[in-house]
Amino acid sequence: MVKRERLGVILSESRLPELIASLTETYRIFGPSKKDDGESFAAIHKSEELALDYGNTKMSPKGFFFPQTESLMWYDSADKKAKQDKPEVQPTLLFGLRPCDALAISYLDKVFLSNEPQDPYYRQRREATKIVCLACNSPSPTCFCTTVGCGPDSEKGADIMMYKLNDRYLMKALTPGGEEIFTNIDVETEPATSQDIVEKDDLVNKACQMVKRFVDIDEFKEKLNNFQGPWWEKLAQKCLGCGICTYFCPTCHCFDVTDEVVKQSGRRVRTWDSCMYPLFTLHASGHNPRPGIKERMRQRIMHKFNYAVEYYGETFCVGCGRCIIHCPVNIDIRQIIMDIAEER
Amino acid sequence: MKNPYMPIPVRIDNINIENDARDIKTFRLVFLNKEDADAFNFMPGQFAELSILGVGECPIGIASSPTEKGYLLFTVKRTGVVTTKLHHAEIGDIIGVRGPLGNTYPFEKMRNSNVLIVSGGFAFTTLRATVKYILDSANRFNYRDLTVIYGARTPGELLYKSELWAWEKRNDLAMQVTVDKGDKSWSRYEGFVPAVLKKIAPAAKQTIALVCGPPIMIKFTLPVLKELGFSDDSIFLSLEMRMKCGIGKCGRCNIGHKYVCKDGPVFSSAELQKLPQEY
Ligand SMILES: Cc1cc2nc3c(=O)[nH]c(=O)nc-3n(C[C@H](O)[C@H](O)[C@H](O)COP(=O)(O)OP(=O)(O)OC[C@H]3O[C@@H](n4cnc5c(N)ncnc54)[C@H](O)[C@@H]3O)c2cc1C
Ligand code: SF4
Ligand code: SF4
Ligand code: FES
Repeated sequence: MVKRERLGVILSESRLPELIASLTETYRIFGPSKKDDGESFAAIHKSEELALDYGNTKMSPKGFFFPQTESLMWYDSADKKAKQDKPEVQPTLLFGLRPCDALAISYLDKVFLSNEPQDPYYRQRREATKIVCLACNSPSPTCFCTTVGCGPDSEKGADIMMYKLNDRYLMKALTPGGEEIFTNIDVETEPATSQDIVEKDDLVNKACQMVKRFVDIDEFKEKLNNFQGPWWEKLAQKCLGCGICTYFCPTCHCFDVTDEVVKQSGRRVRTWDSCMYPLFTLHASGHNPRPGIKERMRQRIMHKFNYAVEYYGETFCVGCGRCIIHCPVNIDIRQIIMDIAEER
Repeated sequence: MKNPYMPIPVRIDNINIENDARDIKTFRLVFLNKEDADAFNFMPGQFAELSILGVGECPIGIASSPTEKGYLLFTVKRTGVVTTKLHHAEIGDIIGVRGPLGNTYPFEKMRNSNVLIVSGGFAFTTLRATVKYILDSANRFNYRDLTVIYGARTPGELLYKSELWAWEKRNDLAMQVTVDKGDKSWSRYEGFVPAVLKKIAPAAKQTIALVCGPPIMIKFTLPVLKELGFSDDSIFLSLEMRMKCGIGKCGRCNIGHKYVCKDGPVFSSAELQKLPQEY
């Protein structure tokens, strides 16, 4: 058991293997994996498999709670009864998650859990999972977390916060879930000192300086109150409507529900869907309230920066930069924000 | 924990073909389990997802009133995959219902007021439920004058015909039926719903107007209501958007920051004016 300390505890990097070994006794662990150069979260059995110096993963971790495809129920045509599919859940740790992704999960919690009725599939996975977050010492060039209310040391959504200080980790339990993790592990730590905190603050400050703040986000949000703003036409010109931005986004959560039948049995599945597709809103009558890329691009941006603020009290963009990296025609959401903010 | 995605099993108990074109049918559904029937508490204006395993789901307004015990009515126009499959269903078939979903007409606001119902085409369904609810002897005294203006393209396209003619004879509501074009035997109004509304000119004072119909009807009805003196917060409309989850999660049906499935489908004209014109 790791004792609770006011300033957190210090774990020597050399003890990371022990920490992971101890954690695996209670939890399934997923973390950024060396197998894939830290590009994805994979099952971790030994600390050597972890790639903790990664920038951020290619896919966001939202799929752990809200898989790209999941079966909601199944049936066979003989008895015509729907049977509920239950996700198999085990105590799970997401280890080394970036603060932006943890924040994004706290937003998904609002969609699937705070907004009644709760989503039982999401809930089962979410309740079984705890999050150990790793603060960023060297943000990527595409990160803009500090512009959108997140940051390299943002704690929301994390059960435990970890900071890498040279050859040590500073660890703090932030929630009862985090405390529970501490009680479940057996590894030698020392209480953190105020010197350690100074060192941490210094690293965080450096990281914050590396993340460029490029725009006054409030001015941008103010402009969005004008739904008919003249900028959408131009911004949408390059967009292919491929929807890749939404698949990579850690906060995008739109889904489709479809039935799949193979011979006598079938299942009802939900799959990620995207507001960037024309079919998303097409009525059976042929009428489409969002007929063009312009309207759909507007929906994507408005949903994140205007509607979600009204509905959930949060801006549904955490500045992770994934949509910037993966857009095939280099549409940069920072540029969109700037263009709109600066339009007179 | 209740799973909002699981359909509640129901049996098709009766099927009624509503129109000459035979593409609108009313299905009477009966719950297989008594607990499900008891738990299904709804008010007119709400809808449900009708579910056919192996085919899919579609959102349909509840056409019956909670005062009609023991069954639910849904009036469905054949349009796409699920509605076509439903049209091929037979009495005795088991399907699913997921709901009740969405909000209701503003019954609190309607209390002690006159109620004006303006409707066209096959959108009359949840308003039929509203009429039925208000006319129930346990509720009638809570509302003042009830005026219903309902129109269809031709006499053969009117829904719930025998009920309409029975309502015409009653003195506790003013039932006004119109068709765009009548046939030889037609003796009621002829003309579009907004024109009939203008002619009848119900008083706006202390009146709540409920409007549901095709977009073109709504477009021409709202200015007439304004002319008659109705304010935006006394006009209520029921909207349609493409839907999947029906519970405000799948992100499909929003108009601005409102989800039509959860915050609607009923909105006041005042609320709608604050939302983007994207529906
Ligand atoms: C609140 C509400 C109440 C409604 N009430 C009625 C009613 O009482 N009677 C009636 O006949 N119709 C009603 N509709 C319209 C009806 O839902 C569509 O006609 C129906 O979904 C078409 O489904 P489909 O599978 O046959 O068509 P397809 O075109 O094959 O549809 C595929 C999927 O698209 C979605 N979809 C397509 N069009 C619509 C639409 N207009 N609205 C919502 N989802 C759509 C559905 O999820 C459907 O599963 C209502 C719609 C809403 C939103
Ligand atoms: S919109 Fe782009 S930058 Fe913002 S959270 Fe989504 S993927 Fe990340
Ligand atoms: S990834 Fe780029 S091109 Fe594709 S829909 Fe998003 S913004 Fe448009
Ligand atoms: S239908 Fe899914 S959010 Fe409205």
